[in-house]
Amino acid sequence: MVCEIRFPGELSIECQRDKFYAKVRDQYPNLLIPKALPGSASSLEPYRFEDDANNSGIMLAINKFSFYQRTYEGHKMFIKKFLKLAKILGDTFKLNKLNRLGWRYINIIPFAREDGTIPLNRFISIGIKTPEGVSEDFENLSIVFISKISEGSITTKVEPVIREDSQEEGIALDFDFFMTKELNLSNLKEKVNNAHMQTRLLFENIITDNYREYLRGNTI
Amino acid sequence: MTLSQISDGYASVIERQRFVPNHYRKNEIDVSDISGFDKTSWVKRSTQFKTPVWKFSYKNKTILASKPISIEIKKGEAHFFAENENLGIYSIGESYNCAIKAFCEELIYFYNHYKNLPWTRVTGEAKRLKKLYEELFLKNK
Repeated sequence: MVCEIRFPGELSIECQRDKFYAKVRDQYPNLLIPKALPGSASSLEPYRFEDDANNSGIMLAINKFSFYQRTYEGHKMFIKKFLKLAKILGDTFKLNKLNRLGWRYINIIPFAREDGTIPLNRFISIGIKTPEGVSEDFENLSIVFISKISEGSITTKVEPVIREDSQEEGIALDFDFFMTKELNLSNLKEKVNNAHMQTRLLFENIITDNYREYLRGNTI
Repeated sequence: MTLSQISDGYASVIERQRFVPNHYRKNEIDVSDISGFDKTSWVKRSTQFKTPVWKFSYKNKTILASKPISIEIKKGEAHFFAENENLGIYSIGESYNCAIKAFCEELIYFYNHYKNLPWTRVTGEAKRLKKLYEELFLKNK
């Protein structure tokens, strides 16, 4: 789970990153410096501050700030922590306006193949119509689409992923909702809650009833 | 499907995503999504997880479950374990896929075993399992 805000480049972040770090280091003490990538501007690559459990962290560059959790602890706690950190950011640096708010939710659903194919329809309800003679039982696939929804757009990616160490496979549902209008630090709470609701709604609509029942514990 | 075939499938998808015909370029829209996250490293390393399964095939036999069967997969030092305590199935395999395959084989075996066992010959745990197997599963014709 990641929530990110973007803003016009603020150079004071580059020079006074330590001031922000001083305010968060108790909870996020681990400092991860971005690697210098050929062709990329180093100021645009975020520094990371992570907690000791390597679960939660902050990413900060001169034009973006994000908070993430690898194991999501629920939207209420996540939003509360994000807003608290955003306030620290706003108190430390002068940010007049925001360009973009992004809310990215990645869910990996472990699966076992059925007759060598991915049992996609057991988990998600995406209609894929193939031509006559072509099976709709997929051995692999990758789907990305961007759709307009209320107040913003959402990028949806569906594809299987495989772990190199254990060969376990999962369907990665990757939702990235973003909005660009009427954003500032004072209305951030309302916008973040809206972003969460939009993504949650898409997740609820995309999963099948069978999988929803499984998530609720209706399983053997 | 072998692990090699599965791996080839992933490589094919990546190769196709990269390919662009001559004289064309990808009409990539600047989606500006939240970048910097690799999905495979995103998930915390774990040697244990559960997956729901509805269809079980082994050789020419297939049975379907009316409810998802949760298979717990554990990675040991040299083997993988696929288990469901409720059904009394504990399988082992050299790989993730082998463990699942072994689980399917055992489940089909126990399905046939309990289906053919008369009610007069079961008590206690065996009675519970017979009821479970008969109510949950259906042979796929």
